[in-house]
Amino acid sequence: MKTLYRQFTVATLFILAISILVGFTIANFFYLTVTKDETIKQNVAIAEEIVDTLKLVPYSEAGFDSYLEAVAKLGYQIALVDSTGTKTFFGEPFDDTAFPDEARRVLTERSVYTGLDRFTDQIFMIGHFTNELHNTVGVPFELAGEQYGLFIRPDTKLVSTDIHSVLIGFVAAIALVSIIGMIWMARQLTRPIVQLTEATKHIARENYSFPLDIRRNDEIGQLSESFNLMQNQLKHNDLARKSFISNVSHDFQSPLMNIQGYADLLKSPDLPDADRLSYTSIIDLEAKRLSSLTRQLLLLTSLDQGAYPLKMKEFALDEQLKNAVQKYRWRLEEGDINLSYHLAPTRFHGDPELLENTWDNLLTNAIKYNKPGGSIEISLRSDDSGVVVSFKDTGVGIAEGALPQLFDRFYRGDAARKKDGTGLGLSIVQQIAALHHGTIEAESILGEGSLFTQRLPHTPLKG
Amino acid sequence: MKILVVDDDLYIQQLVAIHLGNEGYKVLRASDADAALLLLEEETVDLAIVDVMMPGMDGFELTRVLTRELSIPVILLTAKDQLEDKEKGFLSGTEDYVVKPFEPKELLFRVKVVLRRSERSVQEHLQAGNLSINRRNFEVAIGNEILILPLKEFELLSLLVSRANQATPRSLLMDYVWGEEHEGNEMTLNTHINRIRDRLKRYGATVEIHTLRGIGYKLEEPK
Repeated sequence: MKTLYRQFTVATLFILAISILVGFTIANFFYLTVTKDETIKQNVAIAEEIVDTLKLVPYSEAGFDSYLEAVAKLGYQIALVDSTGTKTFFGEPFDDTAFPDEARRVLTERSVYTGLDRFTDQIFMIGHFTNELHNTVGVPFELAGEQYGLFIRPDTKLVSTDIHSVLIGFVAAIALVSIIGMIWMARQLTRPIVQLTEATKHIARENYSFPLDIRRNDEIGQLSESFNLMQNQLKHNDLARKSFISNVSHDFQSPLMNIQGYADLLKSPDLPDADRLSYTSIIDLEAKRLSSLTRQLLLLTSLDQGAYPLKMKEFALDEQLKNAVQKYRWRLEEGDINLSYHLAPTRFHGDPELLENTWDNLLTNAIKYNKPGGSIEISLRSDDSGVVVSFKDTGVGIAEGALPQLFDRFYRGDAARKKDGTGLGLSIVQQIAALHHGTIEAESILGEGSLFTQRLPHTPLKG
Repeated sequence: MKILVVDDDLYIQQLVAIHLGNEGYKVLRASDADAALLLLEEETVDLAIVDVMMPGMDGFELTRVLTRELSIPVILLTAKDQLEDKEKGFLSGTEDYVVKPFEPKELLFRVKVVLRRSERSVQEHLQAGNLSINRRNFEVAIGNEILILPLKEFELLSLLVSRANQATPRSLLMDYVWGEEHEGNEMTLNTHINRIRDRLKRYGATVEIHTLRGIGYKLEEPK
């Protein structure tokens, strides 16, 4: 794998190389077009000045040499060529003393030699700085009837002064620091990514508590923050899912076990009638519980899926409640329960199917947990802000301690455990109320009855 | 009372037939719409219980034929708990609608209600004081309150209201509600009447039920 770190480092070095190349090319171009001619002119002028001065110094071999010696010390390499081709060198010696033909013309044709011009075919300026004899300017001069050629070039060793080494050091330091800095940056950038990758692997293995220690104020910091958030949510979901699964498997398994067990007992040929009756009614009850559990679980799961698509429409809420009552007439009859209702004619905008489910749940609860000969009162009121539907029963009631958990999933009060309660009905009611931006409240006195009040605002925002 | 059960699921057909039989109804069975119509060429029935999902002619279509052409009241059975289906069912003329899985007791109750509705040609609406009775919905209204009474209490009250301000003999009430072969338990009648009285009082009805010793009861409207 090409690691990000390596790629980053390689890219940095590459950019550095490119910038050196581009910088060199630009400097080269600048040197070749501007600086070089200036330098040649300057050098020629200096050479001519030396020659002029030479003519003035007293004619003596010693004076001649010592003067050139002195000039050389000022930072020049000098070659003195006489007509026979004998070369005398002053100052730093040349690495290469090859004498080009053009230079000979200084002596033969008495022309000025500019060795640097010879390099027009050479693109790079470095060639102009080599310590070679052809890399000089030459001027002819005559002294005591003898023809000479004076070839000079500035001594690069002496020319490279302290300021040059400071500059070189400066550039080198910049290069070094930026390379180190880039490498450090790359490490800083890739470290959290490596950590995040590690964390995702842990999450894939269902470990939701990988400590992610990334404190940054940038996009990566945001990413790791969202990652932590996601990790927490996943942890929560995982717990919820596990408890849900264990609840579901328990709630499915126990009625199945009862059905199986009592059906088995029924096979026995000499069973007293009372037992047979009791066993069949257990099977009956458990089958009913399973049936409603399946239905409710299906609904609850679909309601859970974040954005449940509400099928909103306007309908007569009072008619819907009346229909719900009609639907459970037989159970009222069976339980010998008297029901009365007071329903204000109300048009409501909501999901009729879901709300029908709410009324089914509240009404069947009111019937199921009622006493024989008891009563149920349903009322529907409406004002500008919304509608209030209440179900009041004279049933067994709910213990005060049980009220806070009443709407929890799979929570079943003492009464619900004896009946075919699934512990999901009120949870569904609450979920549906929330989807309609409404609330559901329960009040109860144990042994006297309960009151469920559902408030639904008009024109919910969602739709 | 003869009831026709039409369902392609033989177990459900049998289950419904057994429960209806236990209640004393005579049951005819058919597995699809064609068989049902064939059967009806020779037999007459008081009510049909029809499954919606059937091969060939579906339940809605059969209901249309039974209610429009043969004037037989229908209760539809279906597994689909969908509002649109219910609307479709009532549009095709069904009297009532039971969703699978259903409790046998629920079905029996609905059968009873539908049969009573078609059998008794009493007025649909009865009125006395601030009390009015809707025999179609089996609802009693007192002022703005609507009461759903147990069936027997409802029948007693509607007979008393239909004979408002005149004496109704006990025997008439007993026959009307419990049928002619009832085991004469007059205490039950007393209990029911007392419960009706309580309810009328609780909801502020302006009518009162008076006991006429040795004769029966009389519902009186306010003067």
